[in-house]
Amino acid sequence: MLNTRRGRLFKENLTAYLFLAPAGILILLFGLFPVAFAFFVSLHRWRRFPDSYIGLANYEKALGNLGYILFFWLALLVLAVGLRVIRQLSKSLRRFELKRQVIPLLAGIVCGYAVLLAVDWFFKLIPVIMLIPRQVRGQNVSLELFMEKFGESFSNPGVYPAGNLMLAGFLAAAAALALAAWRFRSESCGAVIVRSGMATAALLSAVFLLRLTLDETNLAIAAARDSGESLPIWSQLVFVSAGIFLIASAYIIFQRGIRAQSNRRFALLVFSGLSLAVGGYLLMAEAPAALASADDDLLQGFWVTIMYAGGTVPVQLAIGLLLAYLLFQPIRFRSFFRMVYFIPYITPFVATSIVFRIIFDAGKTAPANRMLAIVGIEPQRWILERSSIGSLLGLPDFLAGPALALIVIMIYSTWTYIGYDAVIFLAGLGNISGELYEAARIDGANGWRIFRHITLPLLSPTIFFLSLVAIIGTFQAFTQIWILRTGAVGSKVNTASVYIFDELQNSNRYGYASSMAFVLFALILLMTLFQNRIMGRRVFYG
Amino acid sequence: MASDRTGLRPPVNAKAPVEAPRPPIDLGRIAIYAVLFAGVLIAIGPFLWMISASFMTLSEVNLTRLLPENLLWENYATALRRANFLNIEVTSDPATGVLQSLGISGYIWNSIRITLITVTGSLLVCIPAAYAFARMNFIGRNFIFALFLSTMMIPGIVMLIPHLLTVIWLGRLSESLFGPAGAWFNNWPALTIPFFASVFNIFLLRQFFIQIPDDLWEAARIDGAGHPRFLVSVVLPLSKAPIMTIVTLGFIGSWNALMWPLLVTINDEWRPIAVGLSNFVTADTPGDLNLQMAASVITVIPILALYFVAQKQFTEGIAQTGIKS
Amino acid sequence: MKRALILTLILLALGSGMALAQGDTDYEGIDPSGQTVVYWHQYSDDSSQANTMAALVDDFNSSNGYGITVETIHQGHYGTIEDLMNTAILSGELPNMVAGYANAVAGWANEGVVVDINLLLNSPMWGIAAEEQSNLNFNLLNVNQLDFAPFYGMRVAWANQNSLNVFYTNLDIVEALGFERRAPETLAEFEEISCAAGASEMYQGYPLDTGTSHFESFVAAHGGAIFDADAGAYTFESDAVVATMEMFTRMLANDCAYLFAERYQNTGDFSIGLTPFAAGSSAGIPFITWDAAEAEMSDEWVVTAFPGAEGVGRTIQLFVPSQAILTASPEAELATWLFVRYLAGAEAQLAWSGATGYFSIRNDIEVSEADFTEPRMPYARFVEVQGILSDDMVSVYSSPGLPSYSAVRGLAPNTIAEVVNGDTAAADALAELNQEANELHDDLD
Repeated sequence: MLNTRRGRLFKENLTAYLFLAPAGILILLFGLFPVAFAFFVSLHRWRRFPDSYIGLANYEKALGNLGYILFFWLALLVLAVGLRVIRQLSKSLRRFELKRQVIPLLAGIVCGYAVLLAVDWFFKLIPVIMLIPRQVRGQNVSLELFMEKFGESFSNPGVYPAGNLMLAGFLAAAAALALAAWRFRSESCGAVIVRSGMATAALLSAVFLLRLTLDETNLAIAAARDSGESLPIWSQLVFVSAGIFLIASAYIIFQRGIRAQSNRRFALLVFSGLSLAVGGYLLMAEAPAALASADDDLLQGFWVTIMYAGGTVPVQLAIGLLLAYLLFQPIRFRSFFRMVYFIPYITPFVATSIVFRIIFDAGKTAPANRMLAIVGIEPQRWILERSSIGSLLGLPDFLAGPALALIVIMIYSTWTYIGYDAVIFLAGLGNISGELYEAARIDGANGWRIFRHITLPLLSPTIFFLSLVAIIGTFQAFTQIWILRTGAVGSKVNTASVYIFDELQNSNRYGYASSMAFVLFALILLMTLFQNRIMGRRVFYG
Repeated sequence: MASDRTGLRPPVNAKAPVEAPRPPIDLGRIAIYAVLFAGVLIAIGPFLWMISASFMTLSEVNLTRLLPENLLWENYATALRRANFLNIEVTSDPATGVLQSLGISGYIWNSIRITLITVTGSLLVCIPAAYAFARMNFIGRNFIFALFLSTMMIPGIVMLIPHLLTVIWLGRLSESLFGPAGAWFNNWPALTIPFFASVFNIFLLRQFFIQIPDDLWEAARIDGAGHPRFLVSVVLPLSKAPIMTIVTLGFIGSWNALMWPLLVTINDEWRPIAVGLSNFVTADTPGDLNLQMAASVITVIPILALYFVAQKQFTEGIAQTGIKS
Repeated sequence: MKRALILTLILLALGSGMALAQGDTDYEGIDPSGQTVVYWHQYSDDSSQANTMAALVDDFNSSNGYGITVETIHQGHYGTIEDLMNTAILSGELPNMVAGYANAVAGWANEGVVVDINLLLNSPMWGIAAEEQSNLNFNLLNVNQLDFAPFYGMRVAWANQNSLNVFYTNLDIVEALGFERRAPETLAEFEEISCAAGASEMYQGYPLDTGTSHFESFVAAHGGAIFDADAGAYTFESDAVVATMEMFTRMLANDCAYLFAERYQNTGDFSIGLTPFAAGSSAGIPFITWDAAEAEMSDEWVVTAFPGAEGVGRTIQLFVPSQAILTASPEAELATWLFVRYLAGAEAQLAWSGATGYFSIRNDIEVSEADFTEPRMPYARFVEVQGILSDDMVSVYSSPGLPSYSAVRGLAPNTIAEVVNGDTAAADALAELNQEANELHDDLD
């Protein structure tokens, strides 16, 4: 049977899943479960141990009304995913006769539902297991005792019914799958099952999220009304969403305009794009109001993160590219240079940070200050300096920029990663064919024009990759800041990650920290997708 | 180093050697060298001072001298003794001189063990997964790949508590199955297993595997080889560069790891070097900077040694990551 | 689903029993024989504290008569211990004894993992008899007895030593600047001399620490505190705190003080004769002595309590590093207590104080010059600092033992730095800090 085409396909699928299984299980445990867990925890008042369910209160605390708005968007996003899968599904369904569709379709729905039941059971079980350490206090703890309690937690009255439901769901799913496999041996039967399952799970999750958000919003509005205030969540939702929608469409129209052939069409498109953008911007004026009751420290953390990313990524890429370009010239000792540039990247943070603290110490004898003294500038407080670089230079407030201490950390971070970037750029340069350079030189192009019109476009995949990695890295940045920050600069250098970590480890507010971490995750994911679309399109793959 | 003159070449679809444009005048070359050497100074200046300071007296460090007056080698002896970096106890029979037992302990040894397990495990887990993504067709491939990639965006802090829970309870489960050696907490599994399935490694290997010509696969299939045999006998021998990259990056990662090992080790049995160094540096009493520098140099030496050995293949391998998607 | 969840959690909370309500263990009939006691401490390897502790542990292990074995593990500094305790509380596998200050231990006690030492201390069979208790300095030990809700007099930890946040004065510099050759009596004097030092060519002003402990010492010197135990609230808007903040701001703005980056740099600068004053733990004296000797600084310096504001007099802040006994089987808890009791004994206290330069929790021991072995600290210094403790004119302050204090301690430096740097007006910044601190207090305590 395995020699038929279908058999081969089955075998290939099976082998692939076996190949994937170890990585898949580990990623499920150590990558996806943490996200789901963080989401679950974020809906609770939760210190070291689970406490009461509080809905979106943590998000409200973190982001003000924007927390509710974000959840509406999340729900709509999940809904959109579900609908998209349904559209794909209906396309693939059109190819079969009706009666062949029903059973695989049903099997998928049952499977999707069973998965949700499993999730439900799992998150009823987790708090019970987490509380075991509390139950065994005052006893001689031993492995046997823990495992006994672990076993008991499955029959906990809050968990048991959900467990039964889950088992029933799995049995039904197994039966439906068996039926589908036995009765309908079509090639795309598997795809139908997977898609209908995914659609079911997505739609049900969307319904759950919408219900949650609606309930919470209404509760918040009612509570505000009771205390004699009004809470304009709905209008803010409409305004902010409309604003973002307008700006997004402005961007799309603008893109079309750039590609437009005729001048008139170009002007028209750019004009309408601009007016949409202005309209969107005006509508977005509601956003600050939605953020009014947000956590200032978190917003400050995001702002610091953005400055940190903006200050390190371009600089690091530019210097890396410069060094790589110079290294690519016919020079001697190339591998020596390459090796040396890489050393900062491989040296442990704990070791190098001590040296950086000494270099950028506030004292008059600190190396950085001694160098300033040579140029005749008075000593700076460097890693102790809260004042922004702009105010130190006497610039107006809106040009303030990051604190000098943050700049020291940026220098440290840039120093660490330049070598890594240079090595990858060097490899990218090595992949550009020499004939192109030759042709360009024959055409009389000079060095800069060659760089601008040949090297840069052909290097764009490398630039894209490196900037993606660097931006993800800076948004998650933690260690560099954590080890170089001083009490005196405190929040001025706290990125979102560092602030969240403080809430987690020092204040032990797991629930609140999780909600902020979840927002950060959503932000990084969104930004990556955005960058992928914007930059990915401009990448020239030759 | 003659083969290196043309820059880095991908080892598989190697192109003809490339001559980059030659700058017209030598003044330009001098400028290039000037910039490159300035880069060298900046890149290893702090590192050189670290070495220099490790030989100084305390007051020389406090005054930020450039070079020590005398080389105080005993700083290293003191740092080694205080910081429990490496202890080797050799017991041999006093009469015959035959080696009876060899006990190695200390943070460096722990880090080496942890690194070896992490890297081996990571290769065993990531190679098949990357191969599946690169060269096999299965339902949900793109979806699963996207799901894997999305986990790269998760900030580490989200993971802390759930990782702890997983490690605590899976560890207890495994301990009750395999006895004390199966424990996860304060043992190698907690320090290594969470890092086996590195999405970055999978991505890196997949980029490489995709570039392997289809002709090789067709030929192998005609010989009757399936995917597993093709992977082992054709793909892997070609993949020295990316594997070397993973080994080196894995080494750097475990050598650097601080926060997680700090939380899951409660004694020195498995505690790695970064935690040891951090404890040595941030004690609750004033520390001696010269000793801290000596300790830092000690921690850096093994990783530098590995890099010097592996750097050629490492750079080749790492170069694969950014090229094609 | 939501309702089911709440129900589950309520059931769980009931089922697991209220964490704090379990304190009625009676240790009378318990046999501590053969127990192993795991003790996490913060004494750096090869320090005189670590070595003395190792010697005491050896002595206890061989002489306790019950076959109790104490195992010590060095876990880095207090911050690392708190991180590790977070993990241990989550996993349920706790050490038996752990080092920490009252506030950290209060946080753990909030989770129900700390034994009330009063139950053991007053146990007729295992406790410390009344006449022996009279030899103990309960002024110190009671820092760990939390007299507020939800602890209601629980003794969460036991100190085996104490140190002071002392004030160092370099007499030669003070004289060279044209002032009377003595430590400043009042804050006004302190500020005046610091300004003179800052304006001079040779010296720097006062090394100003933005840390919370240092700040609290000066608040106490202004006759106030950051927490009002009677009102049960933080008082960052009180007059003393505002006055302290104003003094810091003024001193920095007028170059009478400077900020520093490396930990212990203040005493480091003091030890090389750069500044007339510094403040820091008395545990730092050996290091100052050592650094001064290495830098060949021969100025005469004295150790005193803090100068006070008008009408306040001299004040001193106590640091009381303690150990908590964590919940385990009654046998293990008792065995741990026996070790704690051993450490509190006259012999162990004498050995500890003599070897480390920390001060004893007993009233009845006298560390003679022969007993004093800490190599980096002269015996005369030890006597000098002990004099501060026994001076009745000096009023004593210690940080609040609240679970929220750990987090507040992390917040305050930022506010201090914000204000002294002129980013925010003192009133606004302190109001915000006060609100956040009291929120944490309501949330955690």
